Amino acid sequence: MKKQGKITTIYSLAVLLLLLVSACGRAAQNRSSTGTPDTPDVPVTAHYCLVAENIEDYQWRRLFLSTAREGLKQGVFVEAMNDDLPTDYTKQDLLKAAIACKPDGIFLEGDNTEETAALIDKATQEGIPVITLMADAENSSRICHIESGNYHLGRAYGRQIIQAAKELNLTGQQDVLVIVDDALNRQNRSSAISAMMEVVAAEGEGLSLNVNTETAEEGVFTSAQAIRIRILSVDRIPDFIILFSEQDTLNAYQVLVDYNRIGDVTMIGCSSSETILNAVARGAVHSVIVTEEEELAKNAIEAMETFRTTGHVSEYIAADTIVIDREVAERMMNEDAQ
Amino acid sequence: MKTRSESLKKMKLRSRILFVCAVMFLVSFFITARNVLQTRSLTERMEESFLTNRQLLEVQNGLQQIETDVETFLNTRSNASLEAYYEHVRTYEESIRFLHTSPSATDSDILEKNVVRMSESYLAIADRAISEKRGRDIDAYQATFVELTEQFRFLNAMIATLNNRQFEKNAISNDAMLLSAQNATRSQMIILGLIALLGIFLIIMLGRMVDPIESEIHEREIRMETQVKDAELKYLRAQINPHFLFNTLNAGTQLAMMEGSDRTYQYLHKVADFYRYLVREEGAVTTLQKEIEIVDDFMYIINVRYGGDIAYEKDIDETLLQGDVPSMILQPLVENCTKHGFAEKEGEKTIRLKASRGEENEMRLSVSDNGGGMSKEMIEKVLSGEENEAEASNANTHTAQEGADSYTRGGVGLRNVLRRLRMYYNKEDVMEITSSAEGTTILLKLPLAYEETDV
Repeated sequence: MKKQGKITTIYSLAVLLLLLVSACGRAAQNRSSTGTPDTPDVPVTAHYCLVAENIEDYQWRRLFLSTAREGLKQGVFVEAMNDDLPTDYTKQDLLKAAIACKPDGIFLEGDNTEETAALIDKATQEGIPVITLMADAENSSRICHIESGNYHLGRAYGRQIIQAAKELNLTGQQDVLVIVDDALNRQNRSSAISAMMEVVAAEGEGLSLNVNTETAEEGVFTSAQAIRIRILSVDRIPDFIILFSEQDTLNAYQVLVDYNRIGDVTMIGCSSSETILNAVARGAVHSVIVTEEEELAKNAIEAMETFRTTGHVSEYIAADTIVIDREVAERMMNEDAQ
Repeated sequence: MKTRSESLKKMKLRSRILFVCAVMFLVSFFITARNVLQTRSLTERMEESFLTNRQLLEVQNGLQQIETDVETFLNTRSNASLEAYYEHVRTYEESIRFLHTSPSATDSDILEKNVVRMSESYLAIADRAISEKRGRDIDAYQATFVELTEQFRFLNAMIATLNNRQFEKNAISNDAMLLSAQNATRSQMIILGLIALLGIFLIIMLGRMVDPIESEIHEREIRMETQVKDAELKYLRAQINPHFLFNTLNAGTQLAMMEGSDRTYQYLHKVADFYRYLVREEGAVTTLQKEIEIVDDFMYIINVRYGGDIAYEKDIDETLLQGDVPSMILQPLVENCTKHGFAEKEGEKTIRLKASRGEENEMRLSVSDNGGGMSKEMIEKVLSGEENEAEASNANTHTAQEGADSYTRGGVGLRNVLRRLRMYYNKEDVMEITSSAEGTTILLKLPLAYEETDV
């Protein structure tokens, strides 16, 4: 009897083992066939579209990701229209498509064209609020504009010029070439340039600026060509190059590298892409000034939510800027490496 | 009882085998059912994996048809194109019903929502264009058609993007399913391996369970074989001796008859009957009546030999007379009394033979004497039924064995009776010996109702 009991126990254990292996196999199989979806903090109840001229621009991509992340915290899905449609669509096309999708709101990289303004008005008529980010569409019915602010931006650039001059022991008048990223933004940037000159005059301790403005037309190659011509055509290259867009910063840096002019000119740009951060860390680019995209994203979502809830929102909201110099760039790269 | 006990053992074995088979069946059934369900689920998932792509292609085709219908109507203003338009719009609206329409946290759901909303916008513009064409407002419908074409371009691109995303998703899902199928196959192989191992394990365990029973049966077969050989040898001897003995006895009988010596004739006749029984009783089973008759003959012979000193009393339940018993189980007991019980006995010597019914359908046969009795050790030794190697070898050669517990008469002794009874009934408790200074009683407790079994 004892032996029989032992046999039964062993037998039962064997059957249990078999069932366990079977169940484990099943569980492992289920686990392998299902992924872990990203779950939002709260249920998604709204859908906003983001339309930018070039979403692949490093700063815009970061801004989009920040906005999407911030949106999910508040139950909003932010979609980049550029990701849904082929890249040969213009910003206006994307805006038209966004309006046709009837989202709960649109974030738009503004501009001052009539077509954009008309489309913003159409969206407003259809009950879709539009908030412009980084660049405004002044003559439209957009409900709000959020940017770092040209005045503050100009002051930040001015302070970097002063800092660079100190480091290089430069005094007196300095030739400054300002590349304006778009003809349409020239007017906006003029306030930035004024603020830059103002702060240099006030805080530069005898430093003065001789500013030349050059417009880099839309498009990657035309922009690069314009910069190349400007840098190489003059007998005396400028002391400083000031750039307001990521693409222009990249183009200018590439031209300096290609023509071995690194060190001949002090470049203050606008990008936090890996290439530029690397250049800043190596001292090839003095510094870059970028918008605090986390804060801008948060402001954008909050502004849209406020408008949808109350029907009102401030027309202009300012976002901070960050200066990335050699020290900061090294720290950021180290953090990324870790 | 014997067969019932055997049956019990067999039943137990059968139950064990049935149990093992049932468990194996259940395990196999469970595994098979699980595999079938798993395979079915996998097949369904495989079938569904690219369903959304097929549906989106239908949506795209439907959209193209609507665009063509509108263009045709705007060009020709034909009723056929208008009817086709309404039919295609209805089909298109049906075809996009599977798409999500509310905000969600996933890209594909949002794209689906976009397709639905853009479709609504597109169809509204298409309706407007048709309405303007009916109103013959050429400038308006031309402008609207441009807008419609633009919307068509957006919507078509959006569906294509959604289709691509779904395809990527489905391809990943399909890869996961393929991986899942591979894992399932692997786990099935492992499980089958385990089942095989389990089967081998069970067979071994079953073998271990069966072995003792088979060994016991085998041992008993050997012992029976020994007994048969023993009996055969007895017969060989008996065939030699009885031929001479019968001839001699027959000659003596005829002589006694011719001389008119009735008592001699009767004596020789009884002796002849006795030996004839021994020789003729080849079967293992006889009736109680025959057994008693042979005891009667034996007592007659003994009394002639001992001058009628031994009294012989019988108390027989006649209803038992036809009951089956193994042959030669009473005479050795009686002979034991005459040879050893009365060996040193002076005075009246009595042997009592009793046959009665015991409890639970039992036949109780007892042989009692008023002889000198047996010692306790002797009784224990006899009842132990064990024999040493010398005794075992002697048993086959029918040599007289030494010791008070060894009785010979043609090789059939008290222990031989005990062994045969135990073997025959497959029961240990068949003999009881009680002894004192006043005599000895050997009681046989035999099951009355039984069937022949081929043990």
